[in-house]
Amino acid sequence: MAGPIRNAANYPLFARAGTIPDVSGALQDYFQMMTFSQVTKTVQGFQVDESALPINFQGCWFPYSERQLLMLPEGQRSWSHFMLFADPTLTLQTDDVVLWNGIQTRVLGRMDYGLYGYVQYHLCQDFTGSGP
Amino acid sequence: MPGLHRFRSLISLTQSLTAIGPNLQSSFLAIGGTPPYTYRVQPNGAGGSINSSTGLYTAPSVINGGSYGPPTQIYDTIQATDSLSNIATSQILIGNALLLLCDIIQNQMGLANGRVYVWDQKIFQPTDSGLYIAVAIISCKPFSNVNTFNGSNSSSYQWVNNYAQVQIDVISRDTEARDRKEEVLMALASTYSQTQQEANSFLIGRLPPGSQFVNLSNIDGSAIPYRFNISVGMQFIVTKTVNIGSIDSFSTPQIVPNP
Repeated sequence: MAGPIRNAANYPLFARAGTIPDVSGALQDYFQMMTFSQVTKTVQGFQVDESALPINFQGCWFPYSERQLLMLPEGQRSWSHFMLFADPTLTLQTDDVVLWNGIQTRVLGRMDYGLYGYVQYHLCQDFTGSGP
Repeated sequence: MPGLHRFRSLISLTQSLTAIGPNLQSSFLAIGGTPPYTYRVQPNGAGGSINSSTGLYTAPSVINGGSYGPPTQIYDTIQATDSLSNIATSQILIGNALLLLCDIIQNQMGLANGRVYVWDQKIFQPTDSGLYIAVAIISCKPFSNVNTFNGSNSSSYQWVNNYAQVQIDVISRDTEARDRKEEVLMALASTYSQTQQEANSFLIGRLPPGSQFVNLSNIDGSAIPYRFNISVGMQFIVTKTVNIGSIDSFSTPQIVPNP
């Protein structure tokens, strides 16, 4: 039967509902319970007050490998870089400051793979006490 | 009389000032409800006290509990209770001249808490379209430095008199900063402002010659479309009382003739 040629390359994965692989089920086995303290600013008595609010979520945290550090444009190894995979309920934004296990880190990037069932964050060790 | 009901109004609490300096007083007055009223200061606040029957509030002697940390003890909450245990509350801020100037602007422009703030290196960046006003001291010239001592209680009273240039930034993402910036000047010259200046011993100066709103809208690009800056002068006093162990009263010298 004659007809137009349908090239698979013209059809992205999300062209039809249900074609995105939801890996959240598999990641749940990988994730563990984590608690961040997010540093937020409010104005109290006309002055800026910083306070830490706890955020509970499921995630997995690991440091950059040597190879990943080498590929960073700044070539810095003294500042610790971290990757975080988390469930999509964690909604940090770029430049947010969070504390985890006593380490202050700043969000450098957020990759929203929410359709796949997770989000990925790039965090970097931050100056202790510097606000968001 | 059948069919006639008298409805009691709800208790509410009014105050003469919304902010004062240390050791100063402000009156609170409950209205409505069912008298008599009793007044109290809720715990974990700035640390002031109140006359339970008259409502005359006395501010603590130090700001923020004497701490330079997070401003968690800036406000006292006053609670008035009527004879039927109905409650009304109101807040008062205890601060220095700079904070009182912020209060004047907030009070007179009808802005909510958080809209006026002291600008420092930890900038509170506006995140919505409403009006924000940032206040900062950009220069401060001390013009007198005095120490007096009191022999009766072995204390030294010190003060420095200052003249400061206060910079006020009116900021908004919408057009409010452009259209309401003049209200800042109205607030600084208002009756409430003059009452506060007289009660708290500071002085907001008149606009100096050549004073103008500087349009700084361009420096933040599209992030903050409207930002206007103006500077005003303010004279204020910083004081401190220090206990001293012993003093020389420098009494009139006496000549002892031929001992």
